[in-house]
Amino acid sequence: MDFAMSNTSLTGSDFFAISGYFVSLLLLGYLTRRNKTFAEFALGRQALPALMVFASLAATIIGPGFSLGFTEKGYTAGFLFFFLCLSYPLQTIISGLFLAPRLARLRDCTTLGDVMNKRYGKVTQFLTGIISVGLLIGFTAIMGKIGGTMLHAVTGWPVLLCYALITGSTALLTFTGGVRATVATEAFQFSLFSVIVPVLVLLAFWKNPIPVAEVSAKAWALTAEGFSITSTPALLGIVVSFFLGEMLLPPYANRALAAQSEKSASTGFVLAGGYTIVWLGLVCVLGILAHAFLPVDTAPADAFLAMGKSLLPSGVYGLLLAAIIAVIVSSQEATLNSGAVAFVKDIVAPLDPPTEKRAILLGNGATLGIAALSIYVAQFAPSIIDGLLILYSLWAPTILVPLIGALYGWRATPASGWLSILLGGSVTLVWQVQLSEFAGIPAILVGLGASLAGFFLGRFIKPSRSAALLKEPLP
Amino acid sequence: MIYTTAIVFPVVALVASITVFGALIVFVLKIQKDIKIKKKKA
Repeated sequence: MDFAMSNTSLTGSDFFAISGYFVSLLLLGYLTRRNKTFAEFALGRQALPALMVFASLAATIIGPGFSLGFTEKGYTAGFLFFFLCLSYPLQTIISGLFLAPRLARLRDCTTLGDVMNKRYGKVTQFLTGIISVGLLIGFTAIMGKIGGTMLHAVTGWPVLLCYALITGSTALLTFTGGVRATVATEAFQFSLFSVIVPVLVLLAFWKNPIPVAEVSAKAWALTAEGFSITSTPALLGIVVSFFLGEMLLPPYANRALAAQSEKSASTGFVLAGGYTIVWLGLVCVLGILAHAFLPVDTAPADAFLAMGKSLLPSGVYGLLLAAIIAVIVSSQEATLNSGAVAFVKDIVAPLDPPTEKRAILLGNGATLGIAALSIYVAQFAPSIIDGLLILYSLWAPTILVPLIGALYGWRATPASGWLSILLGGSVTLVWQVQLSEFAGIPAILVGLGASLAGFFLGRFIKPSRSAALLKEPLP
Repeated sequence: MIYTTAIVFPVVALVASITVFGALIVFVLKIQKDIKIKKKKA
C-alpha cells in the first residue's frame, strides 16, 4: 500500500481531535490495568461478557486491510472482494458456533499451546508457541508499516521514526495493561470507527451528485470486470485463504479463553462475524461512491482518506484519522498481547517454568520485545509481505487439525500433534515456495491434507501416553 | 445492493457502536468496583 496523500494537511481542530483520542485511550488503559497474576495479564479474570468479546474481536479483525485496503478494492473492483471475502465472516461465525464454546470450557488454559499440551504434550505446545509468536510478529510488523507509512505521508517525519511511533505507542498501551486494558481500549476504538466511517458513507451517499442507478451500474460493471480478469484458481485461492488463513489465530482464541462463559464466547464470535459483513459492505461501497467525488487520476490506495478530506469538515477529518489510527492500534494491541502471552506460556514455560512474578515481568518484556522486533522487521518491505503471506498460509495447515482434534477429542497420540504440525508446515512451504502453488491449487488446502495425514499417521508411531486422557474429550 | 450497503449497513454499525460504548462503560465501572472492594479488603 502506497499513500500519495498530498492533500492531507491538518488543521488545529484535527490535531485536537487526534489528541483527544490518545488521552481517552490512556485514561481507559489506566482505569482498567490491574494484573497481580500472569493469568490476569493473559485472560483478565475470564470474565469478558459477550459484547466485550464481540467488540474486541471485531476491532482486531478490522485492521488496515479490511478498511483502507477494502475501500481501494471497492474503487477498483466494485463488489468483487466483498463477495469473495464473505468467507472470512463465515469462518468467524462457524468458529463461534463450533470451536469458541469448546475453548471457553477450558478454564485452566491460557493459550492455544496450553490446549495442545493438554492433549499432545510439551513438544506440540512449544511448536505451537513458535508458530504463534512468529506469525504475530509478522502481523504486528505489517500493521505498523502501514500505519507508519501513513504517518510519514501526513507529517513527513523519517519513515523508521514513524514505524517506531505507531508500534511503540501501541506497545506502551499494552505492556502493563494486559488483556482487560486491551479489550477496553479495543471497545473504545470500535465505538469510534463504527461512528465515523458509517457517517462518512452516509454523507457520501447523501451528497452523491450522480443518480443512484448510475452508481449501481458502475459498481456491477467493475464487479463483472473483476470476475472476468481473475482466473478461477485465483478466485478459489482468495476464498480459501480468507476462510482458513486466520481461523482461531491466537488473538481470537484468547478472547474465547477469556470469555465469562461458553455462551459469551459463542455469541461474541457470531456477532463479530455478522458485524464484519456489515463493515466490509460499507467500506467497499465507500470506494464505489468515491468515483462520484474524486478526480480520475486518484490513486486507489488514497480513496479512503481522500473521501474523508473531501466530505468531512475540519476537526471531524481529524476524528477520521484518529479512527484509522484506532483501526491499526486495536489490531496491533491484540497481536502484541497474545504474542507476549504465547511467548511466556508456550516457548519459555515448557523449557523453564517461570515463577508468577517472573512470568508477569517476562510478559511485559515480551510485549516490548515483539514490538521492537516488529519495528525492525517492518523496514524490510516488500520481502516482509512475502514472509507474511507464507506465515499466513502456514497457520491453518499447522495448527488447525491438531487443535480441532484436541477440542473434539479425536483419538490421538502425542506424535499426532507434532507430526501434524511438521508435516502440514513443510508440505505447505514446499507447495508454496518450490512449486509456486502447482496447478493453481492453494497451498493451504494441500498443507491441510498433509496435516490431517500427519495426525492420523501419528497414531501408529507411539502408543497413547495415557489412554484415559486421550480417549476422553477435553472437558 | 447499493441501498443496503450505503444506508442499512451504516445504520447497523452506528447502533452497534452505541451499544458497545454502553457496554464499555459498564465494563469499566465493574472493574473499578472490583478494585475498590479489593482495596477495602486489603
